[in-house]
Amino acid sequence: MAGDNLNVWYDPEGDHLEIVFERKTGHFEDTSLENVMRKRDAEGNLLAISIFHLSSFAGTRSDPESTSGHDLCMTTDLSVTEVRALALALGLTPTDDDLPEVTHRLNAMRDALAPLSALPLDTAEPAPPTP
Amino acid sequence: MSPDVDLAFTSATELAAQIHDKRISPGALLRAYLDRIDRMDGTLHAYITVCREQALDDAARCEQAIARGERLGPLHGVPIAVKDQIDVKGLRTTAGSRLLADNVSTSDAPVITRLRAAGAILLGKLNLTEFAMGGTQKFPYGQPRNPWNTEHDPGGSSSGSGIAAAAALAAATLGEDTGGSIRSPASNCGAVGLRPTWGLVPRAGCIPLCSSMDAIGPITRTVEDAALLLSIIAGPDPADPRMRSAAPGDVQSHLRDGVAGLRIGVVRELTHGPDTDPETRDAVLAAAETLRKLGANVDEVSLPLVMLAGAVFMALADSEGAGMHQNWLKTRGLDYDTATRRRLLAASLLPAALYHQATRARVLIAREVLAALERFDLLLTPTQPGPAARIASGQRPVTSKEDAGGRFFTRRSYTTPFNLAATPAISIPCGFTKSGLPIGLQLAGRRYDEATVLRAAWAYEQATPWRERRPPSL
Repeated sequence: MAGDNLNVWYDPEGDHLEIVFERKTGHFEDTSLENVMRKRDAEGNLLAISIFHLSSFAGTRSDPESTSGHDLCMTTDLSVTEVRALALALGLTPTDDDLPEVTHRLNAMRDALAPLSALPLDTAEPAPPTP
Repeated sequence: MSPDVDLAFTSATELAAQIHDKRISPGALLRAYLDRIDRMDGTLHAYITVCREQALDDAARCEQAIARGERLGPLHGVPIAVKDQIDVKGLRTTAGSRLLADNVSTSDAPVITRLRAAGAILLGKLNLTEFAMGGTQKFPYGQPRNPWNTEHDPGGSSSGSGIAAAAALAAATLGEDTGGSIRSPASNCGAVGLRPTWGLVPRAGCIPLCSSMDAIGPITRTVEDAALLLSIIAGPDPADPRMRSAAPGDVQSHLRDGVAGLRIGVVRELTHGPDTDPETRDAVLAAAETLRKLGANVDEVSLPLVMLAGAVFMALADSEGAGMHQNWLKTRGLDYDTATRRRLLAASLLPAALYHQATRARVLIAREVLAALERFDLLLTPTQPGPAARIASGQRPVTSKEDAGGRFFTRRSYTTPFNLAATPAISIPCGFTKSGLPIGLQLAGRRYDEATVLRAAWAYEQATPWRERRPPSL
């Protein structure tokens, strides 16, 4: 994914949001989210995300207090450029050699934690163990 | 085997008895271990610091006490080594990092005070992955190596503790386990490693990784030794209100009570899952069958959430580690090992919302484990998905997020459910692969019920021949 070419395009008339990471031939596929499609190239790299009826999509969030539901499952890989920007914003200065691995690690962590949003997290109050 | 080798591999419990009965002197025993360290540790790199002169002085004092007929502690004259994450007055505590190369401790951690009070001789401080985080690529104090095959990983983070126990470079050792750091090296090196219930053993004087999961515990050659060391180091720490105030239970007197009637649940996802190596699965199932023949009621149990445990654990522990290391990451980032720095950098960028979700997911995973421990006295799993990997395989660069996920989350899901649930768990040898590497069996029990964990582990150990095997001579 080439974060350097990120384009965000919104059509207010069609209520359609498109986030393009890389302009390249690919195919659209469904996601677990209603109204959301993603575009991948032949190697499976994510090229774009399309969200139709964006305003209604926001309305599908049944309970804004809820942390459950597939609506939070979506993760989009961060690019090296984005990770560098995030790090710099926090005063961290990873080396050029660090960035690919830091990016892989962070994307892996976000992917691995994405299923948590489908758990009944509302029922669990975080608390440290008591001795 | 030479008498000195046999002596070195003798259990700490038996060594203490021999010293008590004047069949061996503390000085002779200490010199046997120092000789092995001299011959083998240039290859194995179990130790960061060997307290040669101080230990010899202490051994002489132990001999004088015996000569005077003084009342002796349960470890009188027995050489013990501890992970270099634990403070010992006058010695540096490096946590395996260049950043702490000159960090000399000004006081003993409570566990060291208790070992000394029991008469132990502190033999040295043991190698570990940097800041007990695991995955170190270039160890500043030498690459620790598995005594069964030096091309293989000894496990971590208590790498030196596992090596020193398995290769008889100490009578027994202490490690620390936040996400498997006692059980992983015990499994890889063919030793016994007990992670006690969080709150049972004082954590003060131990450089933290994740305060709600860090637990000091023994790595030994026998289950009886693990029980002995635990009985010495466990107990309230008046200076730390987060530790349990009640007196610890007796873990020694019921060790030989057997497993008849115990209910043991074999965790399906970790035993039969696609990530478990077939040799490991077969050895663990054979161990379950052995326990059944010894009288336990063995059944299968499903814990669907445990496969999320590795990622949840890393979100929590790495975030906490990143929080603690922020200043150094900004000012001394290049002093870290490359892998540690990259792991801490990635954790620094994890969204707070995901961290919060992980704190809630921890509760769900803990609930699942604790509910299973209502139905069963013990849960049984492989300690690791497979035997020790080659050192070189862990040092290759991370090439994709899939590579990162496979390397960092899956393996940790075998041990971390019990860290997240704050329950005790032990790893004991349950066989060897065709290539001669040890396989670890994990038994987890209810909070503060180390007695049952140790009792079942002892029964299994006595019924099988694994403890009699020794690593090849170097």
